[in-house]
This record gives sequence, structure tokens and C-alpha cells, in this order.
Amino acid sequence: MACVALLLRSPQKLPSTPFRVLLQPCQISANTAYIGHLRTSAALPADNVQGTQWFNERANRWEKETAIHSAPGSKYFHKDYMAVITKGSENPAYFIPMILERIAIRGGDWFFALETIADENPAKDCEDYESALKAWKEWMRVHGMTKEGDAVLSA
Amino acid sequence: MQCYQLESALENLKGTGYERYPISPQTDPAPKGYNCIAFAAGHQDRPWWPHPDKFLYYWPPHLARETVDLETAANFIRAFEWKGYKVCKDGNRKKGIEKVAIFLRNNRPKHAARQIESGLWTSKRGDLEDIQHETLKAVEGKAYGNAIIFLHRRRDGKPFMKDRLESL
Repeated sequence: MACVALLLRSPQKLPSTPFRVLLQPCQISANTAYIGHLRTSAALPADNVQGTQWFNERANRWEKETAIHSAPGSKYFHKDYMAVITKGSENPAYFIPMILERIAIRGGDWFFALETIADENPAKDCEDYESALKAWKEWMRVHGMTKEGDAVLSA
Repeated sequence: MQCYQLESALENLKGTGYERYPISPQTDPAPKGYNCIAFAAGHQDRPWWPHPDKFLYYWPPHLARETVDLETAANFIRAFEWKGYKVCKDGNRKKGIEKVAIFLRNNRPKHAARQIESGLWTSKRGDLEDIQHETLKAVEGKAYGNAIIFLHRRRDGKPFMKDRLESL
């Protein structure tokens, strides 16, 4: 499966936001399966557990270290947030459901990361947090990224 | 009060005698749902910022939403003017006058503090607790930059005498 996924890998899209120029490639473990095309089924990388741990460590540290800031830019420019965007852009089908799951459970402003990774903003016209979350869940479903049996995201 | 997380982020805060605001056990854990700009403007129901996503931040509807990290001080001044404030020259205490200070870093708004009647300042720090601090200098530094813009309004809600005369 990993070999098929590697063959399917499309050239990485560059984010369109002004932040894109600042993104630096980060290290990605050798056994990570790349799925470049968003419509490819959301097969998880072989290092699923490690990937989740990698994300949670950075997300927790980001939350703690940016708690002092109100300015969204100060939060988004944090090294861990940028690392999630960079790695997420390499493998959107893996990271978008994981980020959305975190938003559903703990809240937090991960929408900028989602938008940058997906290069779309399905929540741009939403007026409240709940409808934004719903719009992203729908976007994820349309792109075949729904994690089956995931109670949090299907709620 | 001593908070390691605050003091490590705000290098000038340590030893300045800051306190929780209001001084009450009810402020623990830190109140959520608003930010420093909303708090300075007198609102504690939702965060204020000219962020492009309306579902994340409130901003006065007649004012522009701006690109993240390219926000302008003028937009923030207009938001406070909408609440009856006018730009003034400093943050010195004046009886019957409420003041707000806007902090800029690299010319971009990062924080705001509001002066309470005693002359002390109070701010909401991101997702952390509200504190009162004796000086603006105490929260200046790498995180928020410096208090550059000051605005004031009368505490009784009436317009300044100068404005009343001009409207005649």
C-alpha cells in the first residue's frame, strides 16, 4: 500500500497564504506513506501511533507556549504550529482528521493550519465555531477522509 | 502573586507586584472566551480581533477584517473609538478618566491593557488569567512589544467638554 501511495504522490501544493514562504521542510520519518492527492482514501501511515504522538506533543507544547498571546499571528508563527502545517501539507489525508479531532475535543485555533494544509477554507462564511467545525467535517467527508468508527468526528 | 508561566513569557513582570484581577479565587482557572482586546474594550463574552474568520473573533462590523499578522494600529484605534475612546498622549492617571494602552511589536498590535480607577492597569493575557499590574512597563517586552498608543474616555460616559463645545 505504501508503494502505491508513493506512486500516487502528486507534486506538493504550496500554500497560498503569505505564510507559505516561511514554511521550512521538516523531517519526516522514512516509513511514512505519502498521499499527495486529497481524494486518495485516507490510509494511515505505517507509523500511525508515532504520528499521533508527534502531533500531540507539538500541539500540547504550542498550546502551553502561546497561551500568553492574544494575537493570532503570534500563535501561528510558533515553531510547532508551523511544523504541523509543514508535515500536514505532506500528508493532508492523515493530518486533517487528526487536527479536526483535536479541535472537536479540546478546541483551539487550528483552523489556520487546516486552511493552509488543505489550501481551501470551507468555513470561510461560517458565523460560529460549531458551524465551522461542521463545515470542515463535511469537507473531510467529501474528500474521503472520515475516520471510520470515530465517534468524536462523526458526532 | 507569582506565576512562573507569566514571568517566563513577560520578562519585565517579575518582582513588580502584580496580582490577579479581580483579586478573587473565582478567577482560577483562567477565564476563557475573551482576549485582551475584548477585555480592554469592556467585553468578556468573546475574543476581539480583525481576524478573517468571523466564527473565531468578533470585530466591530463596520471595520475591516485584516490579514493575520498584517493588522494595523489604525484599525484597533477605530475599534476603541467606536467604544467612545479618543486618542490621548499618555497613560498617566487622571481622575474620572478611563484609559487604554495598545501594545505594538514591529508596528503590529499585540496586546491591550485598561487602566482601572486606582491608576493600576489590568490585562487579560491570551488564554491565561486576568492580572492587574502597576505599570505598563511590567508587561512590555518580547511578547507584546511596547505600549505605544493611548486612548481615553470619561468614566461617566459623557463626552469631553471640548467635544461638547465643538458640537454646538
